[in-house]
Amino acid sequence: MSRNSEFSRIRRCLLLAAPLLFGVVTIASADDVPATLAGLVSDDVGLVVEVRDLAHQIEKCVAGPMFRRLAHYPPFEKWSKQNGQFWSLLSAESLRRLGASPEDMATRLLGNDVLFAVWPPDGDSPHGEALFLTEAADDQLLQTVLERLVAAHRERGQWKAEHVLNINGRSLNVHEVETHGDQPRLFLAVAERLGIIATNEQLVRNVVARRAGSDAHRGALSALPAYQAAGRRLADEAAVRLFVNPRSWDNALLADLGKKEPASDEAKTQAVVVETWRATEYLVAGLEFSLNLSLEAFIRWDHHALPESVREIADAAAGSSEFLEHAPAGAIVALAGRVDGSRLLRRFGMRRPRAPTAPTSPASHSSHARPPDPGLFALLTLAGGVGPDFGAYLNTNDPTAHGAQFGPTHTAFPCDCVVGLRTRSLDPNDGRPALAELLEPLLHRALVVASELHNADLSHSIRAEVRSHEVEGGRLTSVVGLAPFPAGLEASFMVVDGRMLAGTSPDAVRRAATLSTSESLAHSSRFNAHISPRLNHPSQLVYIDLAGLRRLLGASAEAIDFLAAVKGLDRRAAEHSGRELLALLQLADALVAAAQIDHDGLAAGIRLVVDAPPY
Amino acid sequence: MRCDEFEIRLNEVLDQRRLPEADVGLADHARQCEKCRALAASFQAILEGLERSLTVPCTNDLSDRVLAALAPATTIRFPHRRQLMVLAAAAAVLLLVIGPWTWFGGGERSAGPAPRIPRPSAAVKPATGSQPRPEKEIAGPYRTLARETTASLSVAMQLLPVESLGIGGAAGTQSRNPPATAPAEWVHGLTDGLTPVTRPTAGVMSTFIDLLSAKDEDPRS
Repeated sequence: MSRNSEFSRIRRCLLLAAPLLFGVVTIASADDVPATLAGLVSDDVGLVVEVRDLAHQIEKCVAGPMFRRLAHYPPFEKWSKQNGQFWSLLSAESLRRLGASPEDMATRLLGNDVLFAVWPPDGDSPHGEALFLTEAADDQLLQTVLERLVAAHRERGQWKAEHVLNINGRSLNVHEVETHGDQPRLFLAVAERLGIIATNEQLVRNVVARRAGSDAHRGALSALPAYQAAGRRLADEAAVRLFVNPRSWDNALLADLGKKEPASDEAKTQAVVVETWRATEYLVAGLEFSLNLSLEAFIRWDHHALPESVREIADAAAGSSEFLEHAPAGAIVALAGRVDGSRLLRRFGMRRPRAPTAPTSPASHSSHARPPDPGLFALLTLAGGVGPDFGAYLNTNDPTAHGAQFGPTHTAFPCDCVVGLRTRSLDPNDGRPALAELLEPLLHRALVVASELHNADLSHSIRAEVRSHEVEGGRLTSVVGLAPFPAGLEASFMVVDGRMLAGTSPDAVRRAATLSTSESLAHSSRFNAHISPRLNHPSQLVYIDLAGLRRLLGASAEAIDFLAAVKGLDRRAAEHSGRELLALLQLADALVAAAQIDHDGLAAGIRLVVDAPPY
Repeated sequence: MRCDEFEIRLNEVLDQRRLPEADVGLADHARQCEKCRALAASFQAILEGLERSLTVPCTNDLSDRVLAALAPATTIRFPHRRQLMVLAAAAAVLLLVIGPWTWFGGGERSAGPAPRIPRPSAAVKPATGSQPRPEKEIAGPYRTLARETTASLSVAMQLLPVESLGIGGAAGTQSRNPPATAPAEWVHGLTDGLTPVTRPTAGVMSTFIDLLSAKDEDPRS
């Protein structure tokens, strides 16, 4: 076939496909049925919980590695053996009452999309309104469950009426039932595969009308920009999603605040809460459980509208923590954070004590004129040079590891701990070195003097010694034998680029001081696979490598012995505790808790992650 | 003691594996109220039956056969263990979603000591006469799991130097009634301030949960 004829064939195909594609797009855009249940709810809703694809998520969860591990967690294993009969009874009872087993409920009734929406109370509905929707996979089963529920309420005298709604030429039977006298009545209906339960007949009517595309009184939630933006903040795998629409609750919060005594502490606290709420554009949270267990939340705020105190606290903890760049990729436990302590102290620490409410003597009045406490003043001055970044990590201290230079160190615990603190110049514009660099010679000299005093005291059987090592042009100081440090521990410190590093061995501090960025936790592929992509520049972070901790405790009797000695446990209790701890640690391979604060808002999350199997 | 208090107390006594007749309050009320006496007897019979049945070797398809007998039209396709896992996962999801609201009473702080069981209905409306509490019945086995897990955690935490976090220490020696701290006050202030949001939400959730509490009508006081 010639090249020209082939080209013609492609062109013909394209010409034929174009109208077809246009037709599909036109039909899809003209389709009256909203794509998700959020399209059936008005945009003035206060709160929405959605469960998406529950059947598939549960199936993945049950077949997944985390659930397999949970099944072998001793308390769960024991419980599931003991409660097998309970589940059978529950299943039988569910079949008897509703005509569906719990498994059917989870897969065929609630297994697609479920939505639960709440509207705030107002004059017409003092309890607030609520709506439950489920897009069932089995409409017959849905009808059966509805009939059973209605029959059960008829038997108890709680069935009140049946209404027939005519919407767009279609009739819909709605059953009105009562749960308890002091609670709103519920309206139950089934429209094809859509199960509807609402506290108000009008809500049922609105849902059905929206489904038919005829209700345009209010915009749909799915078209609300805040809802759309909130959805993008969550992982696609999030099975359970919460969206809070703060604007719908503003009136209720203001009305409640108005009832409080304006001068009371309660009212002042609530005013801050209400002001923060009004600065919040939306709140969203998502739960993922299919492969890993993860809970994430995000509060989107208007930074300028936040109350001053909240804005100060947020700003003091905002930004990306730099310490992840200084923790090694193999850290078993890592903490990293940012708190601008001096900013908080200046903002909140300089407040004068509240004036007493009781009558006071003239002398007490004069006390208000006193200058600030000199101790506090000195603290504030020093605090200006501290932070905002800090961090700590725990790492295995393999003495045979590459680069060990200072010989064997303590062997009491097969881990090294390193703590780091960023410091800066006391005054940002004075051009002087960072606080840690100013303090380093003082601290070194203080340790020398303390060692001499220690050695002069004949009651001490162990001599203290201060050692100095040169590391890349800087001085690393370590001290051994000095009380109150444990025997065998060589406490060490060094200042690098304004960072104070302190650790439990000179090698640990040296490794921290010379760690290249590419070897850091921040650039570890495993760590980056564990942390949520929405929290990958955390302001605050706790990371625990459960697999590493498991290996450490399982392989090293020293670790258990050390911890048992610290806690004063006997051998048997320590072994028992160690077994339980290992059983707990096998549930996942890493735990990551992180918060990311920036101008846009506060994101936070906690994840239990299982490593992907090596292929 | 009222009939609804009797049922709560009875559940607590049975949870603690004690005999209802050994409890003075229960015994007094049961002597006066025939309905409650019957209720206690039926609970006792169920528990005794279950205890006896635990010692009887069962075939794996027992639950399938029981369910098939109850509802011939419906079949349970999954093997028992898988079904258990599915149920546990579904229940865990529901608990994760509903649990925080119900456990914390939907933003309403209780003035008394912390309740031993979740009380979604009681937190949002005063107890008036008899009320179905299916969540309590369902929560029973979960309490066992929570107890087992807490014990396991407590033993595991013995090794870790985490007393300062208030979660360590020997088994059964966790901090009780910790003193109020500034963060705790702040949290209370926050939850109080958000009561106009949490209270109606918990209220309507409770209404929906009660829809499923298909319990036979209770003629007791």
